[in-house]
Amino acid sequence: MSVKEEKKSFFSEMLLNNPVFGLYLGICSTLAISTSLNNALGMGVSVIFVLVLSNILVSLIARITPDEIHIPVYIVIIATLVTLVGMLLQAYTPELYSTLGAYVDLIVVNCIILGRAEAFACKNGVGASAKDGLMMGLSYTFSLMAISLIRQILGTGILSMSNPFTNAEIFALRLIPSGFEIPIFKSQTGAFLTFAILAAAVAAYKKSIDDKAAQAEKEAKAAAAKAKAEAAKAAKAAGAAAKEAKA
Amino acid sequence: MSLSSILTLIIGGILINNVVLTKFLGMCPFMGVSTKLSSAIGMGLAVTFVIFGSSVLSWLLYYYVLDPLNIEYMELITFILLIAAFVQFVEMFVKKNSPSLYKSLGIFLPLITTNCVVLFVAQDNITQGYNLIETMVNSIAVPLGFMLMLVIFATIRERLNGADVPEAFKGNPIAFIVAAIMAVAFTAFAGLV
Amino acid sequence: MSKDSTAYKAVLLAILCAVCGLLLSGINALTAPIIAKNQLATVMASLEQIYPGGEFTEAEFDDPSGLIQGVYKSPGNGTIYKIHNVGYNSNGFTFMVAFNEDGSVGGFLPIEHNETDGFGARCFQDDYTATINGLTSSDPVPLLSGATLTSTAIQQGIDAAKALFNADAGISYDPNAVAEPSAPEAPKISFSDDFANTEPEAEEVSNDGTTAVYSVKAGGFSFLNEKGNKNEAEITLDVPSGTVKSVKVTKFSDTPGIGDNATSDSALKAYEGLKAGDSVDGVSGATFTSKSIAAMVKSALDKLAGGGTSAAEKPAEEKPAEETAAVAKYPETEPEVEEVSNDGTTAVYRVKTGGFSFLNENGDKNEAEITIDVPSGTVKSITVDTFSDTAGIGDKATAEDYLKKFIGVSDPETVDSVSGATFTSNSVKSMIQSVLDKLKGLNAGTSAAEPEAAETTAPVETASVSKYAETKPEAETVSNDGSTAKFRTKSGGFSFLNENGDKNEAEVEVDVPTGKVKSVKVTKFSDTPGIGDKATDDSWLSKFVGVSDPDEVDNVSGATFTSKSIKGMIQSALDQVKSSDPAAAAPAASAPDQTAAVPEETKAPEASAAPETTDKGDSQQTVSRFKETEPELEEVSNDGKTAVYRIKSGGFSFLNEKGEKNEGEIEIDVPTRTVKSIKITKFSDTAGIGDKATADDFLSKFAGKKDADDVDGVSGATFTSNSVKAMIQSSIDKTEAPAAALPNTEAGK
Repeated sequence: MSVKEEKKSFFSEMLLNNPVFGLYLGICSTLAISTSLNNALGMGVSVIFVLVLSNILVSLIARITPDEIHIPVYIVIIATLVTLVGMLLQAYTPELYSTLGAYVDLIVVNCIILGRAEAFACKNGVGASAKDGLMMGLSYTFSLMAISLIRQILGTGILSMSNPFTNAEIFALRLIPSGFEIPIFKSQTGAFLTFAILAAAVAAYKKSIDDKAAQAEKEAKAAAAKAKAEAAKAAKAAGAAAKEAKA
Repeated sequence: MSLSSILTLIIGGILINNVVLTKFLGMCPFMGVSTKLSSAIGMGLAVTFVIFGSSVLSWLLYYYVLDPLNIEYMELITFILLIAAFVQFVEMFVKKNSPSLYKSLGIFLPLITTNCVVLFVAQDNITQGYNLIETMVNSIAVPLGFMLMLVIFATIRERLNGADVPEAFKGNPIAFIVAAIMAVAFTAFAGLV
Repeated sequence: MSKDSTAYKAVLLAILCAVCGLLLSGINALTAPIIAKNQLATVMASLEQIYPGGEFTEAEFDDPSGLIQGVYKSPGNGTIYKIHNVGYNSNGFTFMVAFNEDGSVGGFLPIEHNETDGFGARCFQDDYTATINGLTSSDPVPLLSGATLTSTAIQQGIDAAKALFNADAGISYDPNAVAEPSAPEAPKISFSDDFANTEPEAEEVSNDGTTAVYSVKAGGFSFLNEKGNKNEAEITLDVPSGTVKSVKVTKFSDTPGIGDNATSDSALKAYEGLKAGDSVDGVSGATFTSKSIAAMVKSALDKLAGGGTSAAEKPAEEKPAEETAAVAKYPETEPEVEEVSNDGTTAVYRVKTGGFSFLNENGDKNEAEITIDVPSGTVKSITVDTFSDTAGIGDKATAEDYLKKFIGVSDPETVDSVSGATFTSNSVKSMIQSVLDKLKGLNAGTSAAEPEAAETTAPVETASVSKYAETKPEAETVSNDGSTAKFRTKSGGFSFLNENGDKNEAEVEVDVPTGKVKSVKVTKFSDTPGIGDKATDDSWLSKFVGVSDPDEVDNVSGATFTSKSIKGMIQSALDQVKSSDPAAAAPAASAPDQTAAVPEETKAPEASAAPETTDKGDSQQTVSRFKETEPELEEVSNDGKTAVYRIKSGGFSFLNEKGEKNEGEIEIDVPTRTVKSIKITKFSDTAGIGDKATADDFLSKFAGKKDADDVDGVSGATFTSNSVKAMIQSSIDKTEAPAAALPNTEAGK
């Protein structure tokens, strides 16, 4: 597979198997904190951290965990990791923590994390689980950023980012002149709307891929049938020729 | 604890600070279960029961165990374990007593554990500094608000199934559009108390 | 132990929990002190805003309302309460309120809120904040109409704090008292206020000598805040008495349901019978529209006074003459003096003057009662009873120990201002000055008009700089040939006065014989881009041309500091001319000296007056397009055919992040004055964004162009594009000078 193709497949993977837009998992935090790029990145990094580590730990202890208590075990692991992230965020990035608020703790109940532990990590090796966690975390972050980008630009007119440790602004670009922003995008309504439109776009994209695949399959089938018919014809002809020769 | 402040908590929990529309909590079951009215009511009741039970237990746990021991940082772990255990209990109970309800709620019953509303209410009672009575009131009001949304949504979505929406919006996306409109409608409740 | 046995499960879970618990307790031990420190730091920052430099200790409290989040005691200052409550926005808001030890409110500080602009958010803005700041712990908290929810929530919070504080300090009060709902914020509007920002326009429709009708316009809320239209009205005046007969609003442009409270018939009736200098109660909640109407009425009255019959002229003239004389030193504070009593030995006056709030935030004036010892003309006592400026800052200048310094003084200037509270200090001084002036005017005798008229001209000349003394203007003579004097001047604007920043700089040319301004060119702008630079705009600067007193030009609203800074520079240049006038005039008068002056002029080749002014005007226009980039230009070579310049000008980094300028080398074809080539030698803006505007294919678009604006900026890289354009434009402009200096080649043609 060429690099370009791999890139393409990574991207379509992100879209098609997107836990947020595709499977509707982890929506709560996606909607709630997607008001600025900073929040999105902070949340995304936290989720990636928890997801990768929980996947690794779960895959490590999966074999010694009896089935009946696997859920509590996973939950304890995840809750420990989340508490840890929460403490670190609160200590070193207080500003970010105060805007993410309760949603940091709610990473515990983010369906993506327990879902991946259950569906993937407990059945696969450490390396594969880590990679799966990273991929899932990245596509979650990607979705979060997509929503945040739209909401922040339309809602405040400014695209900005700041260093979460020092609160210093890294850049701020005013893209919409002041007075022309659409404040509703800062509100809950805006979150739902943005999400709906992006989800619809992903669905449409998915459908076009499916259609293409179906089309390709159909063509392949037709080609195969044609080839078969031709082969049969050829065989027939050959048979006839052989008969003739025999005769 | 006066009657008016209890009323404030109830109206606030159900209408003004509706968890689904203002805090986006419980979206997963919200989108999954709100397709049929009957399962919406069942889910709503189950969630209400779980939240009430687990929140009161968490409150007791926090103020009688964690706080005296000075291990508040174990809050998240203990709460989530408590909730998981409680859900397990409800699951067993429903399975035994109402197999049909169990069937229709399917996968979502164990997922109540990962319903953010449950954990959120348990923690919110602590962060807001509610006393036991307030905790009980809040733990009923919030899930009732959740259930209200489930029911309203289920009825709308039953109609939506027959509506002619663009291909790409079919299913969940249109439901989010509806949620957006509902959010606008519910802002009107702000300032009710 | 089998994997499925209960014991195994229990042990596994127990071990897991123990490991996790240990891990977390370790991390907790590590992060807890940092978290505590962070939280304290954020609280401290807010506390410091209320009691600067105070010491704070967190106090235990028992709050039945559950609204109070923290109580902080500051020994010697008071107690601060941090309060959270929910108003309109369901997330609620947090604010702090402080009670001084004597029970008065020591500060009201919003910490966080998401209330709606124009409604709930008004509860955190100046008018309402000032109202709260004027309360004590036993006063009821008033509500704000139009923002009932939010102000009710604030009221609840402050009530909770009051309950705690009063219980603590042993103050008894009536917790159920209800404040007069709108009384404290019904704005008092006086016709002597400055309504310049409403930009009133008046036009006479008819005037039969007894009744005059004017059609007027002035901006209200919409015009001032939303770039909307002005309100319009028809005003009928009674000419002989100079009073208002009727006001009819013909076009209402502000918010329906809010502003129109001020256009109701009953509200408009309040204007009837008023004359110039009177004041009127505005409609609370509709301050902007009330002001707009007052501005319209005032402009009609002014118009009548200016062009009306002699009957109307008289009262109009008396009033201003008295005022200008009285306030020569502090005219911007617009003092209003009213005599309460005067028994020949002691006179009591009520005075209002504007401080920080009035001058910068359209807020109210400060008010005081001043007692004067009449025979000696000295101050006996001052009591400031309405303080409208920022609590915790301006009130240093209303503290008793400061006010005491004025006692026995006959000139307020002899007392130093309170550092950090200059505005309020000036307001106080202005009160005293105006009272003393008033007294002097009375003592001087009955013929008030004549001596004062003389006085008005005198102070203007001698004390003219003092008008803008606070901007610390400096003027340096660049050239003075007796007809035109050129000065390089500096004076402080917003940045200098408030942020320890640099002064603004300008080049001012003055016509020596007439003492009038010939041109003003801002060469260095140090204030806030996008705000102050409104006052460096050519269209405004050009208003000074032909003016001999910068005060003839109105300040740019929203850019008062920079406006003053510019006026200060102009004033200082004018003063220089005046002081050097005789010296300069003497040589200029004698004929031979004109030739003697020539060698001096040759030093500056383009100094011959006529061409200079013309091409100055020209280049001023072009560079001004990009003047915010502050281009610095250096000529590397110029062989008459090709000129090479090395230039720096600010892009994104320089303008927004105090970073470096971009640098480039530009070649200009001299005869055609077109761009030959551009090379960016140093790029200081954001890589990947701004550098789109330094790419070769963008730069090559400028080749052969005479005007940098012929090429469109790169979208997404506007700042850097402008920086590049500024480099090019300034190079082209520079090339222009010698080209024009070859006078006859082009002119001859």
